[in-house]
Amino acid sequence: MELGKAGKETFVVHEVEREIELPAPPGEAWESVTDAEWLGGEAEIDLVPGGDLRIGEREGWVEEVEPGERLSFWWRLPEDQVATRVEITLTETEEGGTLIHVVETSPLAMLDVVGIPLPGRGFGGGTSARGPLALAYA
Amino acid sequence: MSTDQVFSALSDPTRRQLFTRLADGGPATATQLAAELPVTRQAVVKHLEALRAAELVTSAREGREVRYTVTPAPLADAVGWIADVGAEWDTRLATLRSQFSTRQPK
Repeated sequence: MELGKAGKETFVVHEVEREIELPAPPGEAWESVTDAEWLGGEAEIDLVPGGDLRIGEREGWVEEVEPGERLSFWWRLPEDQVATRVEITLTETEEGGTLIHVVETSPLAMLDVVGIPLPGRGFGGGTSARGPLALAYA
Repeated sequence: MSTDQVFSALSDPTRRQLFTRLADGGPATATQLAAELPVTRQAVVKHLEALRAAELVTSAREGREVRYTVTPAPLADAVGWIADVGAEWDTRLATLRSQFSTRQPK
């Protein structure tokens, strides 16, 4: 979690970070990472920026795809008001394995402060809801 | 109480586990918590004190024991989110890791 200031408002970014090492090279690890059932059940991901994503009950869209290196996406549960961003990065270790680094961020308080519509509103309404968000976060 | 204190208190996985347990399972004593989690009672008491210092839990004496309760603090939502999402990733990554458990590094 980070704190920041925007005008007089203090905003909060919720963030969760995890890391594990897999005994396989990034190319192989990428295949397992993108075969996304480990993320929570039956999974369909259109692996292109802006592609649709459905994992278990969650729905969202893909933000970045760099095969063997990085996958980021936004998702939310049907009952959630807002989506969160997940970034998974893969780094080759000296032993030839892969370090998997996951960050899930809920930066919506910040987006609210700068006046950008939250993804909970107009979610699934085409690319217009996605572009500004991706830009704002980048 | 500062936000830093809260997140410093929750930066430890055992403390997060204790906090989540108290949040989900309701008030408990150190003895009860030590019986439920793979941690000694002494360590539980130490961790609970850190949570109490950050005002994440309150304590009340009951006979010879002290009962700890989660504080409905303004940050409870943030804290709850982080505990829940963290636990979800622990489970997911364990699943991912298990797909490789029988393999050797190349």
